[in-house]
Amino acid sequence: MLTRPIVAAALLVFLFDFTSFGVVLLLGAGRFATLEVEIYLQTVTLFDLRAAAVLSLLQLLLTALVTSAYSSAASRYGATARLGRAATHERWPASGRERLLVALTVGALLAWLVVPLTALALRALFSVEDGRLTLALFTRLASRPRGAALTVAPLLAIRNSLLFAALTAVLSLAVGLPAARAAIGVRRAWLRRLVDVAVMLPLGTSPVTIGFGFILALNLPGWDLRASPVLLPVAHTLVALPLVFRALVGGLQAVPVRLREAAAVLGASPAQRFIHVELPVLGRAVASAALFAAAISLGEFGASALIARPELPTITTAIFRSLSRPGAANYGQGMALATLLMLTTALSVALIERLRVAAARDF
Amino acid sequence: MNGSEQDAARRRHAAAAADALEVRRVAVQLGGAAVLDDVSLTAHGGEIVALLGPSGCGKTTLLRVIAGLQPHAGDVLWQGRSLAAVPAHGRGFGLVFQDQALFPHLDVERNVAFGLRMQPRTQHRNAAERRRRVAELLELVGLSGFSRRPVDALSGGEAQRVALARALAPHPRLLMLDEPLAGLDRPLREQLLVDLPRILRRLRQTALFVTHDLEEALAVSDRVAVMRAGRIVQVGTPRAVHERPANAFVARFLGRAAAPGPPPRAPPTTPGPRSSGPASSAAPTSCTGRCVPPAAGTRACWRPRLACYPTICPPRPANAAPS
Repeated sequence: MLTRPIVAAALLVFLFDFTSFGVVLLLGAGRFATLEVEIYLQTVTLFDLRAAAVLSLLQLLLTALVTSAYSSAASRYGATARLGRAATHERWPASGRERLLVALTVGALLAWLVVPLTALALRALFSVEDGRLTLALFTRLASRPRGAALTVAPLLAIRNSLLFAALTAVLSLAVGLPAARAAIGVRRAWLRRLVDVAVMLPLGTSPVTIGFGFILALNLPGWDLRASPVLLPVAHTLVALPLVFRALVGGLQAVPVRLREAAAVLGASPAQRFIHVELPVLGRAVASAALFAAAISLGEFGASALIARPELPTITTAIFRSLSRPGAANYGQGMALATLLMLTTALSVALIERLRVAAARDF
Repeated sequence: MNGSEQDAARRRHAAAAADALEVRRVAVQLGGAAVLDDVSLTAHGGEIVALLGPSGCGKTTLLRVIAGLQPHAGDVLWQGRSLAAVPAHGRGFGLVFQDQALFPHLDVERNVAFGLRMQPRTQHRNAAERRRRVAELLELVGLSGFSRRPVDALSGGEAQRVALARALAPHPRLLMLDEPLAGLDRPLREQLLVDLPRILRRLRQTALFVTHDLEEALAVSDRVAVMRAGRIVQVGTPRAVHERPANAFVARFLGRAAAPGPPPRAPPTTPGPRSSGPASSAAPTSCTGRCVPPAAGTRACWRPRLACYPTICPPRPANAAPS
């Protein structure tokens, strides 16, 4: 019974690990380079685009293989499960053994996730010299210290990131809503499947590959899009789209069919039904999908590392630049930025979760 | 009800020639099983036809076919023209769903106004016009002053009336009601059982009324179509169907032990004669058109032209079994 879901989960973990970039780039420090990091290094530092292209192809092939294995393993289970129905299975752990297991799991998660993040926040908040609580690192974000790795004030990176995140939210809704509607409403099965696969494809492709592809493809003669600041939100939209799409499809499916039919009989055309019934009823799901896209954009690093212009850094690229150069000022800057990023992301995730729960309660 | 309303009702009535609605040999297959099998039915303009049958016999599916929500074989015609190419939103019909399906994000007024807003062709183009029409309808269903209520704060009966008002607002050519009284508690049901035919007759509304309840069918309709397992087994006036059930199933379903007397000579699809034939010996004849035992505060009175039916007639002392 559980074999398939377990295989699917393992493949998903493999996929994420296979395409992980930021952590390896920072922790591997040149000794452990994944394909991702290799593509990045070949492109950015060695300018060997051919080698990068070959590596990208190899990676695409492997991810395609794993993704198709994943989708065939998951198709009969979790992936198609309706959203918002979990409440019926939720209960408190009953026996002592169950409680122990739950406690161990939660404890391990906390240790893995929370300890490094807390350490980061503490380092950012307490002075290295005398160990006192200080906001000095944060107040210094507004100015660019001497010898800093960044060419602009770190605060600008935050502004850029928020701007890109907002644009990403708008773009991914603009693409995701029609796609989700089509994926549900289209009668022909093959067309529906085509939309589904097309939208989900970026999930199996690493952001670095996407960024690399943008750099290669958008070098149009006479119109070099690579310099356009819009490029980054577009890339982020591509990265966020699969997840936004899934959230929207789940939300749309939860709109009772009766409401659509009632609207139809009352004279509403399909477009009118979408605007006057589905969207308003979906309101919360749409809002949470938009926030989701924004959160992904805020934390996105792989594509940003390749595409972001030096004069328009995002929070993540600023963190990376700060941490990869020597100097206490740079280090502190990276800490402070990382803490801020963590806070914004945690806030948006909490908001998304609230919206999701509220949306699930509506039906 | 104002002048324009009456005009519209009269126009509708005049336009409806012999048969407003004609369902011609409709069949629906779902998952390999026949949900509807060769169903034919007509309704004249201004006529109220009840679809009567046990649950799962295809009544609701037939409504969905007529509304344009259900792919099917066969044909649905309105005033002789096929609706095959007309989508649900172009048919100008109204449908009151069993579960009402009120829009949860709109208040009562905006629910009722929904159909008006979707159809720019009607005279209710501007907001003031729409508000007037909505007020008119809320008054008709006895819910004046409910405009601003959110729909999740309504009781079952109130929600049912709002659904009725919403369906009536855009002047539907045909109104379909799917078990509109199911799930309501008794006093409310009896109240609506009186109000509903009153409202429909006042508007001369052509209507199809789906129910599994004999009482409802008798109280509301001009003609009854009895359905069983996806087929229509008998059509006729309530009285004709009651007095001469076409077969044992109809008889049983109408609450009678068997179908005594001669088998019906009239083919099932023609309305039975008013009361020309000899009444079956088992039919109670002494009790005609009287009030049901009043539930507290109601004034449910059956239309006198109906004969008395076992389920609604109070037991007469002479027949009462000693207990």
